[in-house]
Formats: sequence, C-alpha cells, structure tokens
Amino acid sequence: MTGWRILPVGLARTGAVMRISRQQEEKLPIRPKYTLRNGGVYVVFEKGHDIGFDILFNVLKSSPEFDYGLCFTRENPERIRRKYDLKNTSFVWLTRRRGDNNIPPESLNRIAGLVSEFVGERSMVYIDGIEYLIASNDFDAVRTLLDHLSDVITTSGGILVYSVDPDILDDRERAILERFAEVIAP
Amino acid sequence: MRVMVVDDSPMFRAVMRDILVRVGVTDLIEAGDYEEAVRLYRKKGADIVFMDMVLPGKSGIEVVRALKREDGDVKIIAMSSMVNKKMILDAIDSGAVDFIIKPTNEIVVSNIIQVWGTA
Repeated sequence: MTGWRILPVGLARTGAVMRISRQQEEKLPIRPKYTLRNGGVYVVFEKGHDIGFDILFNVLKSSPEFDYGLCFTRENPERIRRKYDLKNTSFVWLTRRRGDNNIPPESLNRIAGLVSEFVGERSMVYIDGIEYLIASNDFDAVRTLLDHLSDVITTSGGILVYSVDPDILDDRERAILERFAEVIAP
Repeated sequence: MRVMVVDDSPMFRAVMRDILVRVGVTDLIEAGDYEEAVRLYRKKGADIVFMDMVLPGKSGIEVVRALKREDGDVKIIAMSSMVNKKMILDAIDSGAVDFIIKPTNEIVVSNIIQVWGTA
C-alpha cells in the first residue's frame, strides 16, 4: 500500500480530523543497525528516548522491510521530525495541550484506535514514554493497551517498539513488559 | 583493531570511549579537529574512524577526503547530531561507509564494530 491515507480517527468525538498518513519514508544509503522482524513487539528500557528514536530513524531510513512510520511521543513532534528528517512519518503528540495531532495521555483507547487503523505490512509504530502513560493512568491499563497492540501488530505484519524508563517499574511490572515484548539491548 | 574518534566535544569523546570499551575496543585514539585527525592518522592509523561531520575549521567531509587519501581502506563512519540528507550523501560520496546519529548507543556501535571491524 502506498500514498496518502488520511484517517479520520476521533472524528465523532472531537470534530477534528487527525492527520495520520501512510506515506513511504525516504531511504538513505546507511546500514540497518537493528534486527527486527515482521509482527514483532520490542521494548527498550532506557532513561530518555535516544535509543528509541534511533531505532525509529534507522529502521525507516535504512530497512528494506519497513517504510511507514507512526510515532507517539511526549516530545514536540516537529523537533523530532527535523532532527531525524522523518518527513513522511506521522507523529502524535502525547500532551494535554490542544492540537490537531495531540492526544492526552489518558486516552489509551484513542491510541489503540490509531494504531489499529495505521498498522499493516511494512509499517512501524513507536511509542516513546510508556512511563508517561503509566503515570497518567495506571500500570494495568497500559498493560491492557500493550496486550491489545501486541495482538494487532502480530496479525498485521508491522512492528511495534516502545521505550520505558526502567526506574519507574517494580520487578513484577518489568517482568510483565518483558513477557509482552523482546528486549532490545546490546 | 584500532578505532579513532574525531569530534571537537571532549564530552562526546568520553561517551564514545566508554561505549567502545564496553563493546571490547581497547585500542582507541582521539582527535578534536582536522589537523589533529590527519596528524594522528598518519602516525598511528586506524581501522575504523567515527567522524563528526561538524568540526571547527575544516568540515568533516574534508577530513573524510583527507583520511581516504592517506588510506583508501579506512572505514569511516560519519556522525551528526541532526540528519541532513545532503551531508550524508556527500559523506558517502567522499568515502564514508555509513552514518550514525548522535548521541549514539552501545547497540549501534557494537553493530558497526562487528560489521566493519572484520570487513
């Protein structure tokens, strides 16, 4: 599937059209640094999100298997888009600030809806800052979301990567996240 | 295997030094600018060079060209804190074999050492 597809997610509730597209990211002559497989769900335990964004950048700019990106982030999406030159990737800003592509962190069902609409073959979804979602909801609600997303991704052929600050997790919570996903680590 | 890091930031070089040691590289040399990079390379050589594309004075592209003139086999990894398509293409055209974005991490550096350290 190629070209633009604007998904009217949240139309009934907000009256706004969230501009989520599946548009191919332009490749660069660089080597893939991460080995990810179709249908895979991956977690990065890190403070901050440098590894997570590097995976998003490297996969979409170098992998012959993945072309379409959707990123949920706490950072200002335009800053991320510029830094990584991800012109065609769709960004959703996890913030309580109003905006066309903004979602408050409590709206886990909207995140689930957007991912379900977006994913398909050759697509990558990255969620930066799972700890923000946990802090704004609770661990079990986020676990339910990740469980649902895992099912969606596994059947779609795309990949899901998310990063989480390990310091906010207790041993049980970390073990649960590791059951849902493969850990990306050196 | 000897690895050279060219970057004008002592802090970034320290981070790279730490990452490289963790992935098993112990023979490491560092330079902060064009002149130091060329002088050190002539004196000691290196198998892999991590090269910042934004240096004081001459650009990273000029350093890439200079090192390739010294040794056509050297594997140069261009680095930048921001992705700039033209700069990446120029670096590759000048002889760099790959590009990574700063700050980098152990997974990426380990991958590069495995691939280019044996190439």
